[in-house]
Amino acid sequence: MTAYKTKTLFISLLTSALLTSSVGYSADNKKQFYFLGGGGEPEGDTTIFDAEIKRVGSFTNNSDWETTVSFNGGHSKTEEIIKTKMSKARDAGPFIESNYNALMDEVIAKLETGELKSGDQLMMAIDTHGAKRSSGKNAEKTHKVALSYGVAKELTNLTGASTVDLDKLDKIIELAAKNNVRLAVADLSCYSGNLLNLKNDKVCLISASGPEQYSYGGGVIDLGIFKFSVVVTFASKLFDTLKKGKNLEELFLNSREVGSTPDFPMINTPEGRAINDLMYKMITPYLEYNDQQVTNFGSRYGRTGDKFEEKVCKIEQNHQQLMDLLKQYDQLTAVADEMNNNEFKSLRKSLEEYRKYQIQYEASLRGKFEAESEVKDMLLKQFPNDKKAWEDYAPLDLLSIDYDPQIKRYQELADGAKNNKYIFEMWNSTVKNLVKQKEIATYVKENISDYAKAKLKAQEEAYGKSGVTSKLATNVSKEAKKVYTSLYKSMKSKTSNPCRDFIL
Amino acid sequence: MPGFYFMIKTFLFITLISSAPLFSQEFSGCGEYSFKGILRHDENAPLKMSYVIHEGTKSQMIFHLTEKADVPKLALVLDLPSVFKAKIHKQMDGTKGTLKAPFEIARRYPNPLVSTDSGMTKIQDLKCD
Repeated sequence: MTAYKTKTLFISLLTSALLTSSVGYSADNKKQFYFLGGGGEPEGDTTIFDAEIKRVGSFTNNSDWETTVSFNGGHSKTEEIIKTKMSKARDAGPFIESNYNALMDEVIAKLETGELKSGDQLMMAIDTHGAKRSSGKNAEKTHKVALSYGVAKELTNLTGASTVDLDKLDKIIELAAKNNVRLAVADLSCYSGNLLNLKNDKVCLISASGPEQYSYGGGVIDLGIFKFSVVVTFASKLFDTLKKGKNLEELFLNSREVGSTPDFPMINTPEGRAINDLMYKMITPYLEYNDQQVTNFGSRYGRTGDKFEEKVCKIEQNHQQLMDLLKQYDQLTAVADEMNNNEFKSLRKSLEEYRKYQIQYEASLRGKFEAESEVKDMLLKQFPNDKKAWEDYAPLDLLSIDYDPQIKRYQELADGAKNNKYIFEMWNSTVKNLVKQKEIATYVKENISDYAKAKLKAQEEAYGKSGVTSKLATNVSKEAKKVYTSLYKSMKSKTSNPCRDFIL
Repeated sequence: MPGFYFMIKTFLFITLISSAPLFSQEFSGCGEYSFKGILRHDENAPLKMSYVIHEGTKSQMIFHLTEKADVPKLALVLDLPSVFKAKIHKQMDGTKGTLKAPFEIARRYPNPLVSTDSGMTKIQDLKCD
């Protein structure tokens, strides 16, 4: 009875959720495409977006899409590629804030005045560097992306680059939905899953990654004289397969299977949203890794031994629940025998491998925290009268900081403040405190046990070798992509949706 | 119909796996807070030191130190991402405020993929000065 009711409820929910209107095409319908981005790149002739411009150019030059491009700025070869490969497109100038705002306003005006009307198609693609979404009251709905003429020094907050948020798309989405203009927006930047915060089931939204993951570009094999552009990322595949007659849902699913980068491309169809709810949070912790640019593996454990075992316990508990759930999926699919594959098993295996490494890493951290405890005891015994110098600090941090540059800096500040007695005394007492901290740190480093030293060294080595997590995360991502595809296909409704209806 | 099973399991999954999310709380009255940000030398601050949260973003908040004794206490983590607990003892003026009595100071290795990486979370209420 309960099962029946649940099933009936699901049929109703699914049916209502998947019901979307289907509008016919006519030869009179306009097809307009805005291609924006290429910002935040280092100085030089080229950008990492060059191969993608060529792919988009191949589509626009061989189709009847009326294209506007606002891309790059300041990279001569990239500009040349835009000129030659996107010769049919209207060049709206470099991707700077005034051009971005003007183009967004242009689109809004087209939707408000009816220049773009019911049945017309509007496609917008943003292919640039993207930032992590801000937090707090004034956070943008979507996220910020990099504009031209500024170099992003890091790829999380895009420090150094000029940025603009994508929230203006909200108005465009609202107007397009209201006027039955078929709209598709693809954000190919890092953290682009935030695009799906603009919830509207009458438009098609696609992102190259999740709200907390990087997306990946590049894919060029350089052999000196020859350079081969290879399709190894979601964005490159998506642009490579833009062809007349294809629909965006199909292109998304095909592109999602490409490559093995630890990302999580998203689509706002009912099936896509349901799978995001199912998988995204579950997979996210296993997409964290350390390499030359990303060092977020291990952050879940914290910097000190505080509540370490509690954190480990929670990670283990979540992992076991996830494994149990995947086993249940596996059994269900085996009974139904409709999927005839082992995606769930393979995903489980990759997650187990990741967890296995985590357990080793946890052991090294456990050792480090034992050493931390020994250091704390030593501080208490040997420096009871200097508590002011050490008691407010995490014990191991006292040992890891390079004191000399800090002492030098504060000494310079003191020297420069001789005319202000109050501030001079403050810098002076700061220098004295740092000298004392250095003395304590030196003593502790010389006197801690060999056991503690070995544990600290082992943790340092474990951290040094943690680059292997990149491969483990990549493997999880690869297997999760297979599961995503299987789930999507098994859930795929016969009723259409704005992405399936969006035929190029 | 494996699709139905998956949908049912979706709900089961959400119930089972979802753990209480940690939201980064911003200023909500005087109290003891946990801060995650970076200490900067600031010639415009009364004690020449500011603690900056969400640095370089639209949500940036700046806290001046008010107690002379707190400067040497925090000095070691100048320009290093850090985490500590301290008191906010006066109402904030927009995104500007003051803090005092930092403790449990530790270095912090920024985690670019976690939204709570920088911020402040209230630990307990205290009366304003």
